[in-house]
Amino acid sequence: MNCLYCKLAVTNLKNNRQFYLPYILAGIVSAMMFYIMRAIQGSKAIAAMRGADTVYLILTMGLVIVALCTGIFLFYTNSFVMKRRKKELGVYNILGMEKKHIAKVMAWESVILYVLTVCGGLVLGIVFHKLVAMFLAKLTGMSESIPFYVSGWGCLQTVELFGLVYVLMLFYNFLQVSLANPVALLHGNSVGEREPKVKWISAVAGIGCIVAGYYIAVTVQGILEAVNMFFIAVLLVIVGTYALFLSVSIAFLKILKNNKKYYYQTTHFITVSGMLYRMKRNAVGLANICVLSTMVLVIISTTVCLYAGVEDSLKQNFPKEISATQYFDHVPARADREYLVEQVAAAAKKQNREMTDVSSYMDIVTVIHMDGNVIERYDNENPAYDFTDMGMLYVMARADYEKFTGHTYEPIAPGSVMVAASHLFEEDSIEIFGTTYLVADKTTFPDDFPDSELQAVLGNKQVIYIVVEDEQALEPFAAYEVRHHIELDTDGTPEERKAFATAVEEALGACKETTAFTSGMLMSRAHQREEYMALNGGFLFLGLFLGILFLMITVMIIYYKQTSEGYEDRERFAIMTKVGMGRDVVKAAINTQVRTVFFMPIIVAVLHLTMAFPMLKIIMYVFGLMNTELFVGCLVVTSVVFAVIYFIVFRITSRSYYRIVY
Amino acid sequence: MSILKVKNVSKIYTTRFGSTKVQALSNMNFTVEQGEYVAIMGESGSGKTTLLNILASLDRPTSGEVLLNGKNLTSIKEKEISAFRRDNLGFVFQDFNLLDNFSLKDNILLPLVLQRKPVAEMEERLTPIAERLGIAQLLEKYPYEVSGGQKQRTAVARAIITSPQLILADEPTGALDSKASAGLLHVFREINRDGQTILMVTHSTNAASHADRIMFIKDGEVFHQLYRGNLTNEQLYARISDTLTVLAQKAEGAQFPPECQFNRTDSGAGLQKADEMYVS
Repeated sequence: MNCLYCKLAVTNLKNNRQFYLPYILAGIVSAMMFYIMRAIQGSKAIAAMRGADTVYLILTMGLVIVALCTGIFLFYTNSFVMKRRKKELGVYNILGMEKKHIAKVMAWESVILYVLTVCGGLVLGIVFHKLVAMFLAKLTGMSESIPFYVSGWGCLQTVELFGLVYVLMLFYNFLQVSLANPVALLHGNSVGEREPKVKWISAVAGIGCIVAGYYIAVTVQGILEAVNMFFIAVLLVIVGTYALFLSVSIAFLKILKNNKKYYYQTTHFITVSGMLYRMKRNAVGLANICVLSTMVLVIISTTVCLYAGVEDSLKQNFPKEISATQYFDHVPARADREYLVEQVAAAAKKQNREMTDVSSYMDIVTVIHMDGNVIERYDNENPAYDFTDMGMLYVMARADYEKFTGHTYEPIAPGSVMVAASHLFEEDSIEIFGTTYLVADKTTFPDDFPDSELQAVLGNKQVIYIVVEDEQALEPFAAYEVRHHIELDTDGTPEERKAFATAVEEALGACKETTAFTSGMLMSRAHQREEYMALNGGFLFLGLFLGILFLMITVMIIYYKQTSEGYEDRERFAIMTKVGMGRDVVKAAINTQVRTVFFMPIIVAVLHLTMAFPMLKIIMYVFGLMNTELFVGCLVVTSVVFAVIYFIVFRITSRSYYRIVY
Repeated sequence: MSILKVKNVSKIYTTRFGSTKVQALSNMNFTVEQGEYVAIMGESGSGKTTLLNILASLDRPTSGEVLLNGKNLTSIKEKEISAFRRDNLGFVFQDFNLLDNFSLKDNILLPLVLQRKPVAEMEERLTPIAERLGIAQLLEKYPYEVSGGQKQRTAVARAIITSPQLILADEPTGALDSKASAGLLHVFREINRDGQTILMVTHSTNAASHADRIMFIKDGEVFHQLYRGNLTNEQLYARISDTLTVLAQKAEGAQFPPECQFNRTDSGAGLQKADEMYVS
């Protein structure tokens, strides 16, 4: 008896292979991706590598996204297939199969699909796991070799996740069948559709949302604002996109339809009325495609850009190969400072490295609240201050500032200071922590001053430099963070540079007692490069991985949309042919509609991307990427590649569409 | 003047690998006069649909020719055939074949839009026809919002709006209840009275009894014809019933009973064209 149901299930799947084949393929790819992601994330070889923490975090994030997307996507496809199969199930019911028998057949189908999907996914996952892991290692610059192995946890969790999804889908299908009577099942896909009504409020609100989102993206200034507003803008545009496809499109078509001169022309007549229904049926699907495409474009272009821009970011954030900072609780004596520099030089000699561009200077830094010409300490507890009021005060001796900027300045009298800021300071006196100084001289910043990132965060006006004559004049500020910087470039291979950086760190650490600094820090570009590669390579890997997943989902949505469209259109075009429409006219009308429907999402996606560019550019600063040309290049290339793939998919799925319609 | 001439038309369907041949029409001959209202009756499989498809230029005969107003349908190029169909033929189908995404008005205007007529002319033609068919109030509605009879009247309006040479109706009452059927047949009568030639394929004796002439088709041939003459619908109905009974009996091997021969001379008006009586 069981065997009969099983056979019936197999026959059903075979007969509906047009729907189930892509469904199974998509399931297999999803399962494969989930397994690979899980296997890499849990891999001991990766865990042992340097930078693994970052990669692990990124992969965990990816794992969650893959799991969620897979679930939602399989559900979507399943409901589509079920809709098309209702008639078939209705026939079974009428032929005398009880609902519990139908349920048994459906259960068998689910089991078969599940086994195929998970087995296929796991086999492919195990086969391709090493390849993908090697790709990740290459991207992140991890050198260790990756063994071929099978992840038990990966298998188990893939089986569990897909099991859960399939069980949920089966229950959903049961519910669908048990709720419907046979006649309803028979007519499951031919319910008379009403002409869509124009929802003017939603249309206007949708346009409003998109315009507002665009406005924010284009006018945003400063990293802090960009990061704060990014999600608001994204949300507005997503809401607007759905409204655009759901209501704006229909409102637009209705306006066209009401224009009789335009509407009653052969091509317009067919296209406009056809589009009205197409938009009604497909609006959500198209909006999904549009949002997904935008996500793919943003994710891939930003991650590619970050990866390609690693050197740029490094140069930007670490202008010198090695930058060492010592923190003091007093103003160090000149001898101590010279001693530190000598130690570094000694380390260079020992390591056989050539030092170039060596500079050392001292500054005192603290967080402030600045109001006109009054500077106060920034008090975390003070409710009147908010984060955006925070500023930075740097105090330097004239000699150090000269070294720092490369210019020379007039001597500064005691009780006077020189003020340097990005804008010209207007006042004649300045009050710092209760002491008033005369402003002897005012100057604006050179381009390359330290903490440029911070300045971008806080806004230009919140950073101020106070220059005093000498170390003695620095004393009143000694209670704050006194820093001594040694910066230099060097030669040698990355390995040699790394070794040198470590040697410098050790040499300086050994001076802690003698020169009485409280703590020290060393930034080495060679070391940072590895961090950057791990982070940005990890991001790129995740971006490509998710990009491929989203692309696959998009492709599947297009495919199922095309075929379902085909079945609905077949009847309509048969009627039109009977009434006297030539096949070529029919074909042209179909082409126009299908093209419009499927290229609209990507055109809107590219438009979104273009408008988001100013905001994305600023957000890329957070990741230390300032190279706008590179970013534009990445965006353009990604968009073009995506459009080409989209077009190819469209052509392939169109073929199956035309096969149905004719 | 004869508007439609079917001469020696045969249609043979061959299965894909040519192993089986089915003769759907064999050497069929008949003519339809200008302004005539002809019903074609026959069992399922008698070749009605094939004939209609050939007349509609949706299919081509294996041999023979079909002349519509002197123009040979079989020689029209594939490219021009749609335009020819649109300009010369009007169709009424059993399942209406209205497009759900067009209002009744747009459904009716569809052929005119395909003919690229100006909007003003469309409106001009639409108004009298809609009034005539009693659907003037429904024009902005959609097919799923109106009854079957109203749908069929819309389909008739769509068929006649181009003033075609010939209206081909395929089981037009097949999906209608008796009241709607009566309404539709009344409409057909009326437009026929205005000079419209109608060729209707039907199963329904009632529908056929409204026509001027009834052709019976069997095994791909015109088997028998009845002319109305002076008969009322009811009398014609009885004649058709008798003929169908005989046809059925003949199918079981019985001879065509001699009492049916009276068709020939009955009332002196039953048949003017005796030579066309028995084509087989």
